[in-house]
Amino acid sequence: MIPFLLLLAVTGLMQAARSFSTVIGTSATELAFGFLLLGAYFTARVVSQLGLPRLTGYLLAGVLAGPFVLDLVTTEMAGSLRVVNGVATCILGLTAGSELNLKRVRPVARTLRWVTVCSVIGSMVVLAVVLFLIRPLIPLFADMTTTQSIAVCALLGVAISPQSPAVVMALLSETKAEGPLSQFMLASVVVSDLAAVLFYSIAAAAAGVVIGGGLDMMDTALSVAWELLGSVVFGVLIGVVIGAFLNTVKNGASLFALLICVVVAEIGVHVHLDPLIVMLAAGIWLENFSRADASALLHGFESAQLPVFLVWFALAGTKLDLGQLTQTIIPVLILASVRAAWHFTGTRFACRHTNAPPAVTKYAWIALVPQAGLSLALIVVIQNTFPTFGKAAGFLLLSVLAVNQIVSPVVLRAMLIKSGEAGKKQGVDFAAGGH
Amino acid sequence: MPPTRETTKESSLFAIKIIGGLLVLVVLAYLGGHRRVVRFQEQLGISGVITAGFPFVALGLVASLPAIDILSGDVLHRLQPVLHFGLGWLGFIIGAQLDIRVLDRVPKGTAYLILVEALGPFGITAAGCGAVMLAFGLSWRDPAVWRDVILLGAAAAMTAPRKFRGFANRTWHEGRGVDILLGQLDELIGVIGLLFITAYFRGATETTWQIPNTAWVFVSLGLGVAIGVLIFAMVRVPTSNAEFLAVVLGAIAFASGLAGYLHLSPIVICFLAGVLVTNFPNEQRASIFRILNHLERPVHLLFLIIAGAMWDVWDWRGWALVPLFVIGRVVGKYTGVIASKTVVGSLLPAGFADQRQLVQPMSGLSIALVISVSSLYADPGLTWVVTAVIGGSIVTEFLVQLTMREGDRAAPVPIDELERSAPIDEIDELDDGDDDADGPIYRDEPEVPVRAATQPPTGDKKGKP
Repeated sequence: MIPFLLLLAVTGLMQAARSFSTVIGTSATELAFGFLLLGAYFTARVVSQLGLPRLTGYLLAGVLAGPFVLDLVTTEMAGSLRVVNGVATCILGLTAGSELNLKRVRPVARTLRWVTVCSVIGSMVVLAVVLFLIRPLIPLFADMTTTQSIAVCALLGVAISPQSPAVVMALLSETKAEGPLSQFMLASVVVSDLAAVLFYSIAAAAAGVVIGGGLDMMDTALSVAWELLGSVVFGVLIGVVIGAFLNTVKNGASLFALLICVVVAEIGVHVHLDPLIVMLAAGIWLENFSRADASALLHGFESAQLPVFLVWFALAGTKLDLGQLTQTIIPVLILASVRAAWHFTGTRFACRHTNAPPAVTKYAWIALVPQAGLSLALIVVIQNTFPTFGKAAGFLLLSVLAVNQIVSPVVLRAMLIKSGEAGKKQGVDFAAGGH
Repeated sequence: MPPTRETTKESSLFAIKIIGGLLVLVVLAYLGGHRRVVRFQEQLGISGVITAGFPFVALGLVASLPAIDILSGDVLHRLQPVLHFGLGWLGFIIGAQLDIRVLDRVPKGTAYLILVEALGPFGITAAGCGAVMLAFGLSWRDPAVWRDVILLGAAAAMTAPRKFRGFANRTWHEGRGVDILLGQLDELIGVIGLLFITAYFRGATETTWQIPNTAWVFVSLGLGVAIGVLIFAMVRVPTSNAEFLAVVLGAIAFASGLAGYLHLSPIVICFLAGVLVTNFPNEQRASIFRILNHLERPVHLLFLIIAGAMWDVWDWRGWALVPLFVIGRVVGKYTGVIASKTVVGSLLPAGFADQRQLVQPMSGLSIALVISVSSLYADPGLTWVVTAVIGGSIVTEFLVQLTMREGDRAAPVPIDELERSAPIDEIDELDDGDDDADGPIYRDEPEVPVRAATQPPTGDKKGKP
């Protein structure tokens, strides 16, 4: 009851302030930051009392406060907080990488390869085919030739496929889950994100050639190589630096790593490195190859993470237009259902084929369903790169993402609890904030 | 026009330079708060609020030079939210230090002492600098001139303890130097001045709220109280340190954002909130102070860096105001001290009024005050005021070092006359036994052992045994 009343009070104050002026000044940035932080926190407290994941509360706060519902946080305000997005992505990458112990993943490496091929890459193909089949339901294909439609379907198929390490990490933390299933889930979403980056670049280059988006094949190949390999190399270097800091300075490592995240988030974009891959590589290096104690870093990190993640998920929520979703509900539901069904089928097939542990076979597929950061990033890239159909495509992709964001955290949380791995981890709880 | 490779490369290099520069500044701000650096400063005798922070003001100034251009106009504009947040943070800390219960126990005549000693420098500095500003071509009919004059007066009126140990460690209680208490009470004048400036000197902005200026005073007070009550209730909800940090951080960002959005001062709103949160009985007080204390110095030093970057040192008229500001302040203080001693000196406990020096360091809030106002308005007179206050505070601290008596260099004098039941603030206990840990610290002066309440004072007026 108290969190709900506090939420109402904060929202009332925000509403009063927003009625003051239509001109958005610089103060609006910190106003939005503070409001989203408090709003997400108290909404999560309210929804957790209903048995829903806190993550749903964070997203719900963003949806309600965002430009499509109450318009308390305008698009402009959300845009001014983009640095939070970058920092959150980097923290996520570093944390996910540091949680990935290759020794523990090695026994299921074969399963991971099969899941990546059957479920992740397979879903790209299947989604592209389904998009092609239902294109009469989607207005953006109206003026396209068959060849152009195929190219765009391939592009959108890849763009719909990315997973969300953020959501998986958040729910693993919230449920304090640990075990083979949790490790596998984390590894699979990280690998699938890498696959999505690679395949998106190829599909975008092909679509550019067919549609005339101004892309050059050679340029694209080089930029993909730079983005993937450059990010890994740069990430390893950062891992070495953080490791050296941890070994020598001992204290203040979390602040140091946080600063590194800020720098990578801002500089990475300008030099065309993927901040997620950079920090992921740094985290994997720290956990698996460095002599430094990565767990000490994570422990120091947890307090700083929660504010960033609260705002990040709420910001993701502000981008969801539920009204828009109703206009494209049929193709969106088809795509979301096919995507989930394919992950279920593909992952189960891969797991059975490789004799994966029963819990992995039964529940691992659900980790591939949530969408968040990379999907949102790809939507922006498509809108900027393909002006002829980018806006309409972004509309469709955001709607699919909205469905997945609303439904999948609830199911994922339920399955983690059902698997018996929930509650087995002590300490770190960056998304839920507890200990 | 689509970006070319060259423009992309240029913008990337520009971004790298800016971000690299900002990173260096943040690291320096962190290092500036490190306990070893603080100890080193203390060994060098650099412990005033301005002198300790001046390297960071200078750093900001250098970073904003066109040749370096790290903190350019565009970057500063983007950093405005950080500045507002810093102002709100300082306002909250200063408010949170004020233990209202102490006000009931201060000796009779203290209010008069504070008022007279503040009015002296306020009046003389405002009159002197105002006259010069008019001579520089500003018109007395321009409300901005009156605003600047009030601002200069308010900045001059505030004092700081001679040894500054951080904003978050100044809650006064028995056994602590009286200069800390008087400095705290002085700052009230600055906050009240700022409250009236933001209410009565509102710029022409496109707003939907058309209310009289006096109503803005009540809006400010109401907002501060509402935010305070809200934070008081909110801090009871978190169940972990991470949640607690998120709530405190979010609350201060929200409060300072609200204030900035309504064109009010974040300092005033957060000050009121801070007073309410820590003066209502609650169990979270120590946790709030721990967070405020931990982040205060980096936030403050970052704020000083931005203040330095916003400082336009090239306008000579601002520098012309500096000697007037300093002299007006000293003369005003002298007048105030004489007046207060003459009228109520006999009512005050021995040594109480003598704790006031003629050349008293300026409060760090003075700079925050002018930066807060200059972030809300833009006119030429305001740049002179910024120079006068920052320059004046630096000159004042040099004068403080020159005029510091030997007795002042020793531990400050406690007031034994006050009753013994004053609460011991939790913040003093936070550093106990933690001296070897790394990270920012803000230690208070070594406390003089508390004597029995019935024992008469044994020190002379300078506090020497």
